[in-house]
Amino acid sequence: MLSIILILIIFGCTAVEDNTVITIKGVLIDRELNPIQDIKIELVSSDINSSQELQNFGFNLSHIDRIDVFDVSNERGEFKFFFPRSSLNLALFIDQDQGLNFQSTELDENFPILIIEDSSSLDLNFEDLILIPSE
Amino acid sequence: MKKFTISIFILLSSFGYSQSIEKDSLTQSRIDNPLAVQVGLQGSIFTSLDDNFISQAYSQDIGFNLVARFGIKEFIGIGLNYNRHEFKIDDSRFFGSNFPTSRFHSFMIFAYYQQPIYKNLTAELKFGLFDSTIKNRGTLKTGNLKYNLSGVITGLNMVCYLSDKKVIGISFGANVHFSLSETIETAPAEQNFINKNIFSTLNLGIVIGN
Repeated sequence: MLSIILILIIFGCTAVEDNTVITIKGVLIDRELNPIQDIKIELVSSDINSSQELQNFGFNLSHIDRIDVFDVSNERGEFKFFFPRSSLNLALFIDQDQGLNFQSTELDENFPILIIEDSSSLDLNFEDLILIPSE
Repeated sequence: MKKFTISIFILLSSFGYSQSIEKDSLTQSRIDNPLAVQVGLQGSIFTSLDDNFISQAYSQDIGFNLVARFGIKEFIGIGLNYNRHEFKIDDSRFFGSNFPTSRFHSFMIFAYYQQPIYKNLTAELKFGLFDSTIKNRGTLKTGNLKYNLSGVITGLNMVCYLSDKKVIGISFGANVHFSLSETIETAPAEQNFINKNIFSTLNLGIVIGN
């Protein structure tokens, strides 16, 4: 027993199942590039895989699974999440009662959800995310 | 870093030994046997001492501490320690409902030096190494997360023996853990925040044996 504990401690041979912490962060801004404070933004699991799929099928709440990970943007508009690298399709979500959508740069429509298409990366920095009033 | 910490461990053990043989014959010996064995069980409180990952992500609860000491010379020896606590996610930015509960457990090996202070009261200074795991219990979708942290510990422990035979005592002490490993994979900018944690366990309970 003693020798096992010694080996564990000195050589660090501890079993690892998953040992990742990915960071997902960004800054919420308006069209005039001013930071938007006090917006609740969530990390959700979605059955939509890509922005193209989002455009094709549209969005409704049944597409997301809320996992109780959220932040409120600070005075600089910043938010940040910590999550393990996983097999879930991750997305950023702003509840519609806040009256804002993510401005899409490629698609015609704007949605309250932003699909994270490279969610296996350890460091996901979305820098400036423009929010526009939802219709 | 491991070589460095092991060197410190050996150095401190040697220091403790050289101190012990300088004691004069009037100093009361606690350990009369060639190899004294003492075991202890204590309730334990986990406290973060910095504002890093463990401090921000988890609420810490009480746990327990098991300790065994092997006195190899008068007043000095080596000890083994097992510490366990239940954690819960305490910040909405971390992990969420996919990981409702977590368990922290830690193995330590340490060298100690004991000093009688007053009658049945003994103080113990210790240095050693620890290897800890935070096991986050996940759902079937996500699986479990295991975060390993290892580094050095130091601690101070007081034992008040309940009789002159010094067989049973009340033990109170604190261990401070300095996590030095970089075993959790994360973004380069978050390495120190995630991996470098300083935390303490406060332990109160009984020790038996001499």
